[in-house]
Amino acid sequence: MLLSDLPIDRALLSAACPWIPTGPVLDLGAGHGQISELLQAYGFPVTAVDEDTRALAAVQAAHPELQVVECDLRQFEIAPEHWAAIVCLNVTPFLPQADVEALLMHLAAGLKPGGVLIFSGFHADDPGCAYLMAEDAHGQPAPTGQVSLALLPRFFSDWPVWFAFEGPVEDDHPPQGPHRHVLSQWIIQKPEVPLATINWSALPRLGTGMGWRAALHEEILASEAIEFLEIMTDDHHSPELDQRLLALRQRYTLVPHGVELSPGTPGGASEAYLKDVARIVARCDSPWWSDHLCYTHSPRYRTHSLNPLPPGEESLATVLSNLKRARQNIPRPLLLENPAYYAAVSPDPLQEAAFFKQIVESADCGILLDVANLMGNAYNLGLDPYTYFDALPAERIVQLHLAGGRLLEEVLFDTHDRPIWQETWELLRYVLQHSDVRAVSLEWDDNYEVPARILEEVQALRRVQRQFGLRL
Amino acid sequence: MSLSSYQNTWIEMLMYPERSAEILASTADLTPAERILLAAVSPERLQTISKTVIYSRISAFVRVVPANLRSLLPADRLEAMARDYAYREPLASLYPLAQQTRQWLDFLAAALSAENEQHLRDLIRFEQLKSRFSHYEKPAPRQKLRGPVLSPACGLLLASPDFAALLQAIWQEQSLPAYDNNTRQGYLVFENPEREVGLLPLHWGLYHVLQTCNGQQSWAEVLDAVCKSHPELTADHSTLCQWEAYLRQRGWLRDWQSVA
Repeated sequence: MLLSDLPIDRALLSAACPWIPTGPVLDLGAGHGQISELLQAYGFPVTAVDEDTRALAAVQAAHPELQVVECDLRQFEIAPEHWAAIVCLNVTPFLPQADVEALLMHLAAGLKPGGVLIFSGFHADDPGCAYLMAEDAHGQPAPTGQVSLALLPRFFSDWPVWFAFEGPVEDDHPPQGPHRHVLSQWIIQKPEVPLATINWSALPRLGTGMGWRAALHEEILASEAIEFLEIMTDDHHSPELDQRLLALRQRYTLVPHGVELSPGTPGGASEAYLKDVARIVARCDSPWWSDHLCYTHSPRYRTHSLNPLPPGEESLATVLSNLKRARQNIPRPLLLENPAYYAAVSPDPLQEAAFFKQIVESADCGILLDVANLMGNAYNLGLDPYTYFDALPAERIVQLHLAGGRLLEEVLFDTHDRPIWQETWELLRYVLQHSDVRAVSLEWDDNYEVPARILEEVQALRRVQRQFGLRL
Repeated sequence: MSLSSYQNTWIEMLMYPERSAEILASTADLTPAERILLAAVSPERLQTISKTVIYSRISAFVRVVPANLRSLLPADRLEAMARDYAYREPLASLYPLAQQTRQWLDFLAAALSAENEQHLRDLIRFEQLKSRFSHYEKPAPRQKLRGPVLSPACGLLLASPDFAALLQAIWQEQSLPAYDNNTRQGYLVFENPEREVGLLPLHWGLYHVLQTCNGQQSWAEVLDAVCKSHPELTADHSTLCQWEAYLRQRGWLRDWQSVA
């Protein structure tokens, strides 16, 4: 474990926010609320716990949106697997040793998988440890509780350690004035639970949504038709955009939808890419995430297009290997989308449907069926979209995409900038009749001049979805 | 190996549809079935697909060009440069966006070589600097340094003394000011937590001091070294010394680095 030369400070916590997953944050021993304030301002719902009545009253007056709880933190019940982060800075000196260790167990249990513990306490070398700073349950003075990094393997054995510090820290506050502490500090993450076999019929029903686009932000917020939002994963890799995502997440269920996973490329996506996606999926706290069954790049070239894969053993092995790595890094159900085909990649289009089925079943993925792509592929390749659909495993179709395309020199392109084609609406009705989809969303990527027209498409989708009995 | 060859061949055919038959014929590592499939795409269809696929790659590069710069470059010229870049750098990606955009902007800066395009080159350097700014980082151990370095939310720019006026004109959509292409002025460019970007013109001595700060020497040591190589700065020594406190107070200097 590499130790930090410098202790936790406000700047470090402020910079860490994008790596705290979505969910409530607990500030145990919040004192004057500086950390609660910082996390609340970023967008987390924060509960501040302290037994200092005056400090808490001041915190509450300054930040009415904070939830404050006045109690001895030993009396605060930490619900299991509830908190996205727990901040517990230097409260253990006021607890006897046995209570400190009980607290560590409660903290470990209270974080949800992927949650982050930010902890600081007095080390045995702290001058305060020579005093009876703690109180036992009967209010009697007791030796100051101590912690050290040696406790990590005992209470948090398999937790990734992001930050660890043990050493002297200069402090200056009344009534002591300048003085020295010796602290043990850590920032650690509760391990994610590996993805088990997925019960596809148990996924939540999200209703009707659309892809979030900055150009339509105000209209989206004002629309009552939108029940969930899809965000472009690859537009959100920068942590600088995380706060915007968190704000959207407070209002909507978000589903990340990517274009760069490229499961068909030998070697697949980089570890760094997968880790970024994992952070975005954690921020969205989404019931699933999605990308395309395609390749965007080859060893020699990169496109910004979703190129369909030729069915075959090598394609199958490549995709399965890449999806296995994706699944290890991102423990949420993955949906694969059928891309647009502008040229055949096999002599028989039904072979592609069989290939798609084989992949989703072997990799335990769901299907994001792009109904517009299916209709476009029918047009471009001369296949029967209904027969193609019937060859897919309907129980794995979780989400549908709808969009309008553009006809260019006899090829129908998936341009996402036109109203949905009439034939696509008809196919949608058939798909809804013959599957139990959880979510339907509109993709619209250009020609934003008449937002009301775009949102009318979402309304129309919602009507059709309700007509075919999508329960929410 | 065959899958990679198939993918390389298909993308190459899309990039050069007029040479598709030649490309296909020169690719050895394809199965007979793959060869038949690729050969079955008619030249007309290939042209049509190519236009869309190539356009989609070009427009992705155009889209990530910062708005300040896009507003000064005619769309057709920018598109032509993006096309050139897409072909010269067939593996250029847009992930991770900031890093990859810098490479593309380097290409643009090199392509804008005319003397009267100095303002565009300055603007590109400014945008590249901005793309490096960050306010967030995953918690990691912090290593104490011997001396200061610039914080990741600011950086140094050498541009025309008219650069600030140029930016103002762009932001306020006014006509561009006269631009001194020859004189260079050092600036500290910074971004505050509200993501507002500011520009602080620097005394040339201070620019040199900041440029030399690499965490290995204290401010005083850096200053002494700079004054030694530029004796004409000796008179400014005490003023330059005082800048350290101000820069620290603004959060533009720090004495540590993250070691992930």
